[in-house]
Amino acid sequence: MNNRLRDAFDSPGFIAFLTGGDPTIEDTRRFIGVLARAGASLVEIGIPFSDPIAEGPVIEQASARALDAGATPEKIFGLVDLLRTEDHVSIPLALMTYLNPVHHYGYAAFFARAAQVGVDAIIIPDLPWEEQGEVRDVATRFGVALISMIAPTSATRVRQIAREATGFIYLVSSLGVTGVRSSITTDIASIVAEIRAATDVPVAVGFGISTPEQAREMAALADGVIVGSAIVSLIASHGAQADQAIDDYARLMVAAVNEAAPSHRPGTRP
Amino acid sequence: MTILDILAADARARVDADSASVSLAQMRAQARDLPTLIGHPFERAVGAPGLSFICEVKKASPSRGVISSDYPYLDIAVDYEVGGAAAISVLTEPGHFLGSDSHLRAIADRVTVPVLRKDFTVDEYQIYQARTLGASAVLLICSLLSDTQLSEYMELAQSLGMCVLTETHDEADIERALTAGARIIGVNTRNLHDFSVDPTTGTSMRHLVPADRLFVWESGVRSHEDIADVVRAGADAVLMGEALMKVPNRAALLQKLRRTARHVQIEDRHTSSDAPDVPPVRGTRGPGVKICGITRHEDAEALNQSLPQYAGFVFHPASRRHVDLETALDLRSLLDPRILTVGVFQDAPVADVVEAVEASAVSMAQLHGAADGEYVLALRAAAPHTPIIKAVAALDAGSIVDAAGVGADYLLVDSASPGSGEGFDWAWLEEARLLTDLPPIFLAGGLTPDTVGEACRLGVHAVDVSSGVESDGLKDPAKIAAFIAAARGETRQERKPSPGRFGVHGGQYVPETLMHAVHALDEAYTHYKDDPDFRADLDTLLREYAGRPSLLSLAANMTADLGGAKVYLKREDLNHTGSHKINNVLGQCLLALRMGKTRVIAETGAGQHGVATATAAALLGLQCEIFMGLEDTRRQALNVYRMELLGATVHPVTSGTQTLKDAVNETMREWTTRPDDTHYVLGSVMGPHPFPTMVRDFQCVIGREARAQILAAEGKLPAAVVACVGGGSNAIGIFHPFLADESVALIGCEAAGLGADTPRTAATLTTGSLGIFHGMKSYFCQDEVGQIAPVYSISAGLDYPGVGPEHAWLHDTGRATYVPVTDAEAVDAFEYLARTEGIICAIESAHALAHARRIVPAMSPDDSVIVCLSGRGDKDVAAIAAYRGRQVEED
Repeated sequence: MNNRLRDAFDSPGFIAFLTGGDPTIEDTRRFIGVLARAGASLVEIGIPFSDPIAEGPVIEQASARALDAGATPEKIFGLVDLLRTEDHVSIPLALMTYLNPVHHYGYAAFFARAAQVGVDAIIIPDLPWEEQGEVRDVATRFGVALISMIAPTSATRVRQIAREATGFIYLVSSLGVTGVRSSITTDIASIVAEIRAATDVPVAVGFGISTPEQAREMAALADGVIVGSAIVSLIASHGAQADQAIDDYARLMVAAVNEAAPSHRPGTRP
Repeated sequence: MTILDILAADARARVDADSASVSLAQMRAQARDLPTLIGHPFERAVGAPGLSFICEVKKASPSRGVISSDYPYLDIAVDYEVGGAAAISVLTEPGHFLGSDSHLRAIADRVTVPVLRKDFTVDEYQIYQARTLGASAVLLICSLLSDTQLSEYMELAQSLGMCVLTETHDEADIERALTAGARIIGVNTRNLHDFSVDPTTGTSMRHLVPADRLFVWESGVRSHEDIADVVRAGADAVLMGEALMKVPNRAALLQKLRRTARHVQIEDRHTSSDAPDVPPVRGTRGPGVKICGITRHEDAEALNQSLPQYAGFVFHPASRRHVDLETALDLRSLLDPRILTVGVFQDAPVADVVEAVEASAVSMAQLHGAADGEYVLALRAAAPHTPIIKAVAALDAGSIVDAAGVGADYLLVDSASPGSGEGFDWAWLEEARLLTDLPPIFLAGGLTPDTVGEACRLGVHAVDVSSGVESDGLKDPAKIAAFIAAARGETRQERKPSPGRFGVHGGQYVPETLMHAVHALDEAYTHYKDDPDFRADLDTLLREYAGRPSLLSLAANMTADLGGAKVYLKREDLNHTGSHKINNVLGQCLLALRMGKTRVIAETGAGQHGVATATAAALLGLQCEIFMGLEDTRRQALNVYRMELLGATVHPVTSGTQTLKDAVNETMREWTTRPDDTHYVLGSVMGPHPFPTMVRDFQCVIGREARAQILAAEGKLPAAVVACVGGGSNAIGIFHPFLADESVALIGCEAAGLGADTPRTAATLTTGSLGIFHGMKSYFCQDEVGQIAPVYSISAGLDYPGVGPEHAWLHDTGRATYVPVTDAEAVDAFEYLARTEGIICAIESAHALAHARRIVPAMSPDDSVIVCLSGRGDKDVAAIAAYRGRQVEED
């Protein structure tokens, strides 16, 4: 794991997702700056895909908006490049996209470019553990962490996936697709415990988290809290003027996550 | 007393005897009078890149006795030099090794490579003596000397410009040698106390010697395998004696051993340094493969998938596959590190080759044109690490023999016009082998996936291909994969698709949340498909509910009208619910019940599959929810009402293009929400494993019946089976039982919409490219950045941007062919069948019929063609009327 990524999980972190190019690439660039200044530990940038089968309506519509506005993988790479070289954003950045755009770009070319612009990790929801061989070698070769997901239904697969995980583990909090949920009923603590038995790679919980209360609760159990749809909703309603709303929300969530930190550090690693 | 003690005592006695005639002072003065050796020739030679060979001249040894009775020591030394020895070691010990100082003097006078005096040094006298005999280096054996002696003698040798090979046997020796300042450490794997040889000693001790010192492997090396061990242990040099002494052609053996060392080094280099954990590419069977002339990112990606041993960059500017150094570097950075890159040059200045090597664009050089022995020597001197392939445009056996004479590491034998796709007479190669000792061969010239298998039987090092894996002048990933598979001895028949994989296609590309569900389904299906009760229940349902077997009808009027082969129609339109879809839904709903599911969900495009699923759910008491694009619910309002009549809930899908693919997306999303009590009844041979296999198995009833029926009717197999392909379930169902019947042409008809050359099309295999979507790897219609493209066809059932993975594989292997059929042709066929046969078929099936109309007239009346009439056309009547400009809407 590279240092940027490892340092991000020194204490429980707030991980923000937004869709690259929604409403424009320039806006996304500014929003990421806002998130970084507000204390986000890591930002996931979605490369929009026409058919995002793991997403709920909020992110799916954001993908459609971004595609309509002309977002492409290459433009997202350009965005990351500017964030690193001109905006001096130093927190880790992850890409989140589906396998087809990566395949179409060319696996080696995609990861080479990602590494070149300063991407630290990639999340590919339709690439389960069994199929990771598609890109595992190139990801390793170019030093981009391939993030594994673990779901409430992973059952006997939890340890298997955890053992080979790199970067951090994306623990899916709930069944279904991304989107705001009023409550999370999965026994996160016991899945985290099972992951801990197999690896000391940090665990971040995502899917359905939107309120500071939920964030506090999840941060007490894991190393990071991933929030996507709630932020994307702010962008959907405020458009290019979402800076302030994102800032307010992110600071609230960062504070909530930090509150959980001192009392409970399940992921403390040797 | 050990032998070493005896040897040491004898050495001391010799020193005493020698100094009686020439005193130490005189010997010192003689040595000091000689000019100091400049530049440490021995160390430089031993430390040259690659594995250096220090070759030993000795008449006998205590362990082996007399090795060479006639002992032509000068000839031996010259052979070594010719064979490429970096240095020569001469045994001067007279008592046990039958050596002599005079041998050393004569050899040192004769050869140009540095010479080591191999003796049992116990006194400074011997070091001065060595210098006067012409030695460039002396041997110091750690265990014979004190720490003080070690460092003093090293310093002394150094002061005379000589180098010291310090021989060690264990960790403590190495420690002492390093402390004394040894620069060249020899590890003797032979225990001099009892003469046993432990080959693991060298390997285990390598890490004790720092990288800035030289590591020499002594003793125990006899074979090419041993050399491989030495190289892999990371030795800088190997000291060899006996094994070389005993053969008639020492120079040739030495050359071969050096070649072996070089090959091992090359093959291992990337795996050992760049990518520590990856296994070497080289398969266990068959020769290596070199894919030559790669120019594009796509080529690199394709090579990464199939992993040939070598990739070639053509630097010759006149070639149409020419790349510049910058492009080659870019491609090299994308290529899997296990693939070695070869720079292809024609009469380029040595400096150009060296530049490509030093930039790390290539690790081997392939020389076309006039490159001769002199050129090879110059290149070797400038790039000693780089294996050289001499390319020869073979005219006859003689030309191959001549090319072997330039002294390259490999020979690439090509046709007289390289890159043209032409071959040469392979008998020349055999002939040349009889005439001379050829280096390992790269075989090139007109090889293709079909011919490479035979070429591999020639016993060559590698096969080389360029135009043979191209389509329209560009590298074709499918041909590359086929070529490599063929070279590795995997024939298409042997390459049985693994469960869930059809060639590269298929797989399980779904979110983690669904993995448990697809695994559970796979497990349940694997169990129940062979369960007699399950089979019996399904057969009963198919027979007594769906109305199977369906008829195979001779279309007599159509046959008469077309005037060619007999046309038979497989009448899936006569099934309950009016299409082949019922075969699959009965199977899946029965399976869902067995798995304890209480609810089924399904996508539907035109509504056929939705209606079928709702029907089976009603019959079997399952809750049913159908997802249908909003656009489609409007176009097929009648079917929406049908489903509701059958007790299903229909959810209009408002995302994306609001058609079939979006309905699939939404059904998958729904499944991730409730995988426990819900089974997803996927409607075609698509999606993640096990769906493509399971749905095929359920649909194979079509082909099994059709095959038996045609044999009963005609007494022989049909010439062709034609079916429409969207996802491809009716087509795979009728094709599959005919797969082994190679005489039967299998033809899938894709919906071309307004034309496969227009954007308004759904002809995936004709226009799509490889991708991953809806849980599978297959061909998809997609745009230039990999977004799934909107597709169009008049047929809602074929209006899908992908195709089932098994069809993609049948397309790759050529076992089935796929043709586009336009809306206009399909509508014509729809009307034609209605008029000639009195059958209103589904517009989907009309695509297959349209193609049958094209091919049947030219076929023999003795032959027959089966067209799969996958469904009935009531649902399409209004749309066809609208296409013809008539309004016949029911409201």
